[in-house]
Amino acid sequence: MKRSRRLQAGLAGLSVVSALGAAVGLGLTTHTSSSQTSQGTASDTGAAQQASGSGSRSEENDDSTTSSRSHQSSQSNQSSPVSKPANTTPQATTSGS
Amino acid sequence: MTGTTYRFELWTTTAAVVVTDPAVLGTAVDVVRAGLDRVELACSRFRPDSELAGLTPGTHRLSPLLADLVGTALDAAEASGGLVDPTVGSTLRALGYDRSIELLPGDGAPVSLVHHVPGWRRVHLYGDKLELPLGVELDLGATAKARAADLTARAAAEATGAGVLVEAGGDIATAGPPPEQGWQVLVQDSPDDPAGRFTLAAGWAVATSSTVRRAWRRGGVRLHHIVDPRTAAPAAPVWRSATVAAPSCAEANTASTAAVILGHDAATWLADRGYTARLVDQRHRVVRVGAWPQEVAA
Repeated sequence: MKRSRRLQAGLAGLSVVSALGAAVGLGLTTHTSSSQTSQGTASDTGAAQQASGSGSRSEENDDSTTSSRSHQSSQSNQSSPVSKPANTTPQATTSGS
Repeated sequence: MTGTTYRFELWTTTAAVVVTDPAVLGTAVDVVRAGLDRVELACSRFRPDSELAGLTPGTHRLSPLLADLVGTALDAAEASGGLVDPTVGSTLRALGYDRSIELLPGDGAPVSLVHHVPGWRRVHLYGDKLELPLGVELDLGATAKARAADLTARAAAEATGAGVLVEAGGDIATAGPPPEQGWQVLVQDSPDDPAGRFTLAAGWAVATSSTVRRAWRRGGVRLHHIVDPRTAAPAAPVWRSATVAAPSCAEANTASTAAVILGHDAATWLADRGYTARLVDQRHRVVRVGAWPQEVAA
């Protein structure tokens, strides 16, 4: 990949958002790069695994050993993008497709 | 159109638009659907009239949207160290995935797994100018849907001023102000898989990659759509699914796809990069990475 591609693709992205906006009668001008790779230094690369709470089908039915494990990263002590749910119906589902 | 949620069929899967203000649902849906239609026309591998389908070896001037989608795919390749490679198009076709998934036969002639993946470094994009070498067939399936979710969520939020969540075949992007209790999301790949619920922070995205869905058979051998570019074969199904949260859906899907390809090394790879993620193994056990919360049953 040539070094110039990312910058120029970013510029092209400005047009993309505008093009999407124009398609529906909008004049959008903002764009954020799609490639903001999260950075972090792992404090644990997977050696430590701990059992976690119950609730999911696998945890209830699993045969014993490692029904749910966790791999801790530096993000663990920061504000997480994912947290416990509110007591309401889910609005969307993430699944493979 | 009433309420805060609108669901519809999309690309042999389902999609949803969720808004925080019921009054703007119709506008948001119009924006999102128009954007998704444009993405499909730009990069569908299965539509003969798509811009991507018309690309032949040589130099091309791409539309701004296809340039963005190809750029996103190349960024994903670079960020993943080549694990998520858009040059797997001809490999997927050789494996039998040569038409929309619902049109594939239940089984077929055996395939030979000697095909190699050309490699993303052979593709050059300068702004909207694409240099596509002979023998390279692009497949943007790993990133285009996620990028579409990012773009359309942002466009709809800009158009309405409301908070918007776009779910495109399980790839979720959010933009604008969130609901009071945050975006509530269910994670479950298939009815056989463990389900969990969580709150997704405003402006974040989440994506799931699966070895269970989009699978077919050739010569009695089960194949799936996530190709390991190192072997030119479907990734070993260590994980049934991998779910990753990230600032953008394109990044989330890049990481979840890479995790599936990495197999046993996935949890460490994700943790090293600070991702919050959830993996489900073949015994339906959940592995949490980073700050993914303990499971709360759906």
